[in-house]
Amino acid sequence: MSAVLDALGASLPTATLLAAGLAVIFVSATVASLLYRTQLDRAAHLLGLALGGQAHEARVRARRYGAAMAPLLASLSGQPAPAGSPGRAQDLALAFVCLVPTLALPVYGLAAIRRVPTDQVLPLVVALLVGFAALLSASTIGATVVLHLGVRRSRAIRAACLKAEAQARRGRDGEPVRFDEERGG
Amino acid sequence: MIDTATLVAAALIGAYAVGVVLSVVRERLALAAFVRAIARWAERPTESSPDEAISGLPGDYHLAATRLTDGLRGTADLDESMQAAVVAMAELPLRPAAAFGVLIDVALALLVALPCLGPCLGTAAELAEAWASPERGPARYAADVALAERSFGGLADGFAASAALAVALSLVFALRWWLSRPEAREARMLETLLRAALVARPQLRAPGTAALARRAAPSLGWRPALGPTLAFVVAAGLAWLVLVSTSELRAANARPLRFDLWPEQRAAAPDSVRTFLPSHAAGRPLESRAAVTLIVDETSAVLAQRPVLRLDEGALPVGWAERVRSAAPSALARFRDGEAAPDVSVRGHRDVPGGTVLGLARALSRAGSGVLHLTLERRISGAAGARAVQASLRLRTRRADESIAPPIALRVERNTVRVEARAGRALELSLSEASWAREVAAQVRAATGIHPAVSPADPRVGLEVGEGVSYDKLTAVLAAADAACPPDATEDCGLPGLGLEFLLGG
Repeated sequence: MSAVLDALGASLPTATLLAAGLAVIFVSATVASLLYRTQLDRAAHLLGLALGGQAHEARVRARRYGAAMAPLLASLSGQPAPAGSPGRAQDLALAFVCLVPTLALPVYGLAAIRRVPTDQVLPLVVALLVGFAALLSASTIGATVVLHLGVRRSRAIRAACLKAEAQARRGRDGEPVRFDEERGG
Repeated sequence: MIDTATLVAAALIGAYAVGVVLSVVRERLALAAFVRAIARWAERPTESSPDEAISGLPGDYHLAATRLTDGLRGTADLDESMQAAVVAMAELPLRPAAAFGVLIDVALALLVALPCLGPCLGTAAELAEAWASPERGPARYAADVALAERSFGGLADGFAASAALAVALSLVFALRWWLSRPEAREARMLETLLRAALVARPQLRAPGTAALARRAAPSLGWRPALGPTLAFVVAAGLAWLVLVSTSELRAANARPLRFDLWPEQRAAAPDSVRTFLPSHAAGRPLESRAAVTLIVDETSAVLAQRPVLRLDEGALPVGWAERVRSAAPSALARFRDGEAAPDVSVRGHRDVPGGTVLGLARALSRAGSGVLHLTLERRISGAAGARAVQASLRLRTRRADESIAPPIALRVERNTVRVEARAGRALELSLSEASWAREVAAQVRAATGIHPAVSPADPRVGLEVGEGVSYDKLTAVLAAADAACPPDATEDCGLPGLGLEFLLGG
């Protein structure tokens, strides 16, 4: 173990790349988690506003929240969009960012192994192997977390849309009510 | 050869796939039973209860089913109840729970990576140990080469196993997406709710539910498949590009290792005798200092360019010992450098009896020669084709003051070689078996301590030769012990031999 750590220490650029890669993966997963939490809160807030009779305010805010809330905005506007997965591109991008360090390390290694002095090849190879094993595991965990959060978030927003549409059909007195007709006023 | 980690990973992934299918089958059976139970209740309301039907469903569906049965009982509007059921299904966090689902997928993904992670870390640890080791020299070099071959071979196998498992896991995930994704499960439950409602109320009109169900049902159009299809095509194209661009590197990796280490100035020029020399992938570059040359072919023995014996098909004639004893001193004296005994370069025809060459070697030793170098011809394969060089195996007679026996001894017979380690059991190998060279190499390395972790190595190997062994066969056994190239290699990799010293009894 100490020999491996010594080798990592002797190949400082690779060790730095490893640390940076782990940081990138952690940041991506954290960003995905924050987005998940934020968008879930926003969807619940918009639904609460709409069901509480402030549909116009809900639509204004949904428009402000951007593409992630577009399906809910469409449902609140009485023009449900076809079922889709809002934010899937964002999830895929974050998952790809999680994989980038694992892909970048071998590319760096292939380039560096031809440049370093002969006596530095062995520690470089050791650092690359350890780094690849660590980054592959971290990338796997990070990308899985990001994609799972994305799926959960899509499903939650879809459920909010269905709830809003069901509510719109039900109406207060048994008559269908559209959210674009302000209730109670 | 599939290793245990791969087998375990494959078994667990297979078990997970079976679990996915079984859970779907169980769920379908439960949903069908629910519809039947609702039908029974609708026919005879006094004999059963909707609660009994709900109790047979998986827990995820209880809330939606309760919403439906509320409507069927008449406690709420049926259309609204069914809409509430659809919304309840969409809102419910289906099992497995979020954290558990992530854990399952991470575990499956790490199972796929396991066959390559193990060799990655194992190879790193071995290379780090080799890097940190203070040992240096040819024996260490040979050990490192063997380590690199073994480790990187394991690494390639590990990555191949992981790639195969990744394909299997992709199929399992596709199966899970098809059968078990939340939208598919919701759709199954929705279908069940509608069936149950129609069975209980054949005249049912539920426009709100119908509209909501259309929204909730997964799309069967081609648009959702377009993105993944394009992504697959792009990924497959990129993978193909990577494979094409790295094909030369992979082809180079698949070739056996080659070492261009032979010193050009020590690669003896071809001569007329060269074509008769035994050819094996062992031995070290010829010594640079002058040595007496002993040439033995089937008709004569020539010492320092002077014929000393006439041989009959390589057999020693009667009285040969006296004639060598009388000729040797003057020949050796011409090459004597101060007090040091002159070495002898032995160039034996590969078809002469091994006993003839060794008998002459022993006689020269008694006459005062130093180390005898059994000359071999090596054909080192390289990028520019095979290159012929000459190499030598060291041979000497055991000195009277040499009290410690060599760590291992070889006894070569016509069809067998007996390996006797000083500490350990003897091993008799048939020379007709394919594995004898590998066994000899392994035994000699273990006994002489030619390993980076052991120092100093004792390079001495005792030697006895029986009747009827040709010089070619004898040198083949010595080369198997001395070779640093992989024993199974079909070509000469170019690595100098280990530098073993073969000892003849006095």
